[in-house]
Amino acid sequence: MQRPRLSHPFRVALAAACAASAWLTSAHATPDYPLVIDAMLGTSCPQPLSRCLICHVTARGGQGTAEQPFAKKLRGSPYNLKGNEPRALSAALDQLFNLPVPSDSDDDGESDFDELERCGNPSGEDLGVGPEYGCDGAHLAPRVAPDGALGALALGVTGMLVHVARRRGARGKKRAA
Amino acid sequence: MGRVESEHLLSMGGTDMEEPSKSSKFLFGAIDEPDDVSFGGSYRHMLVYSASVPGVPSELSHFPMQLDLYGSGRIGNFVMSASLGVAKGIEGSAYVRGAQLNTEAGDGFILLSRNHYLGLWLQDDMLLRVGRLNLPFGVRIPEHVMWVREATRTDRESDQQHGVSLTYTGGRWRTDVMLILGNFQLNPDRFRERGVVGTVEYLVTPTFAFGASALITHTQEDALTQVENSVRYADGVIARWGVSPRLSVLAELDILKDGGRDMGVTGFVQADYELWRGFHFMLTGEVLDQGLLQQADVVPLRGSGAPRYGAWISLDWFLLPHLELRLDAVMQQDDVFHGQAQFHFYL
Repeated sequence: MQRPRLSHPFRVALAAACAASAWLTSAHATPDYPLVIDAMLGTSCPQPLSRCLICHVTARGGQGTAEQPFAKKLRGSPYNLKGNEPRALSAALDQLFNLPVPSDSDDDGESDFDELERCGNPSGEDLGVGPEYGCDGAHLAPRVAPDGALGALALGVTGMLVHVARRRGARGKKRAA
Repeated sequence: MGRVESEHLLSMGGTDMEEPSKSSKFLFGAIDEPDDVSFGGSYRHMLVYSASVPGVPSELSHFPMQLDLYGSGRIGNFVMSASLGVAKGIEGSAYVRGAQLNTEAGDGFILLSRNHYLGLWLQDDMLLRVGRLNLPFGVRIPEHVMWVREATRTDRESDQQHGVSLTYTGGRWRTDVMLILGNFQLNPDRFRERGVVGTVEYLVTPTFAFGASALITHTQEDALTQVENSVRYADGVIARWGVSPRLSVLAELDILKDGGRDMGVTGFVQADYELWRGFHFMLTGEVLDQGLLQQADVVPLRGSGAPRYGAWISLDWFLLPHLELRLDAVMQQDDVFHGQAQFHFYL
């Protein structure tokens, strides 16, 4: 198979794409920030999707959506936090939690530290639990632990049935003999 | 299931085929499917490289992105179809969850079904379906993280909803209108969106189609933003153009209005050049402005009150029947560079 030569418009498009990629700023994503907060505060908060809303305005996250008051504070001076900087987040939180006057991003009278420590929301009203995913009541694992007594009874009955069957079988063989 | 078309139109060597080869069939032809019954499956494995930023090293991760089996059958004018898949360790992810069947998440396995429906052919060119369906909005593309699909919540990854759809494909027209009854794999009911979505497309010439899409939904509480009594809508235009046998262009431009935001815009243009048979080079440009938040003291940010731009450079190789390899370089403003490698095997 002959490899086609790149046409002139194609080469121009390729050059334009390279130029575009050089122009696009390399910046920042936001991985695992809730885990960083948990690690700093020794918490293990439920509903990780809802917790995205502490900083983001959608549970799908993303850079353009970190618009909540707590995120705005951390983006501002002197923290200048951006995405994809878990160590910088740790440092910023350490600084924020040790201010002489505790930080209260949403001005609700409870400090950011206290709100995060009780799995609350430093950006406003406490978050709802959010939706539950999956069909209502559908589980892969059994919801109730197996009943030990029932299991023992079933095993006993099965054992008895096997014993009776074997005895009948043995009698039949004797008669045949 | 599209395997014959895949071999004939996409895979290397497919141009020479006069009739579908046995290898294009289910399980490479090892099993003959009964008449009016089709089976399929899809396995996608993704490797993602995220570039470093000062203080944070680069990261390389890989994960199974899709592991689904699907089947469809027809009895007279009735059709039925369903997909069943598995995923693992998705706690904390906003993806996949919408298609989840069992309620456990955590680190364990979940079962998921993206599509399932019963249908009735009202005429040869008109199909009525009831079930969990792809939302008929915009250009149906596989890149579920592209902004047009994310911002309008119309990807085919897990954004399907339950509802009733009427599809007409006759002559130069292709239309699909769906009454959205909500995603019943999401609880409780107050998080379910209800509304209408539809697309109409007209084949202007044999190689150029132009269309429009519209969507409007209401939910008591938005599952992603927790905005109460949220109405969101999107309206847009789409175009598909076969410039030459080797070059095609897809484009979409939508206006958006999410609950709690001003009006925004998103769009993309993708050029696909088939360098040689089965080997595609793609350039994509995209834009997103979800609209300024309706809150006090809000300043425009890229993507929220101001446009944010992105570009994809992609190589897509259909090297054998049932097999696709794809590389993407994804560059979006205010995000690190991502390199993606995808292995896609379909039954």
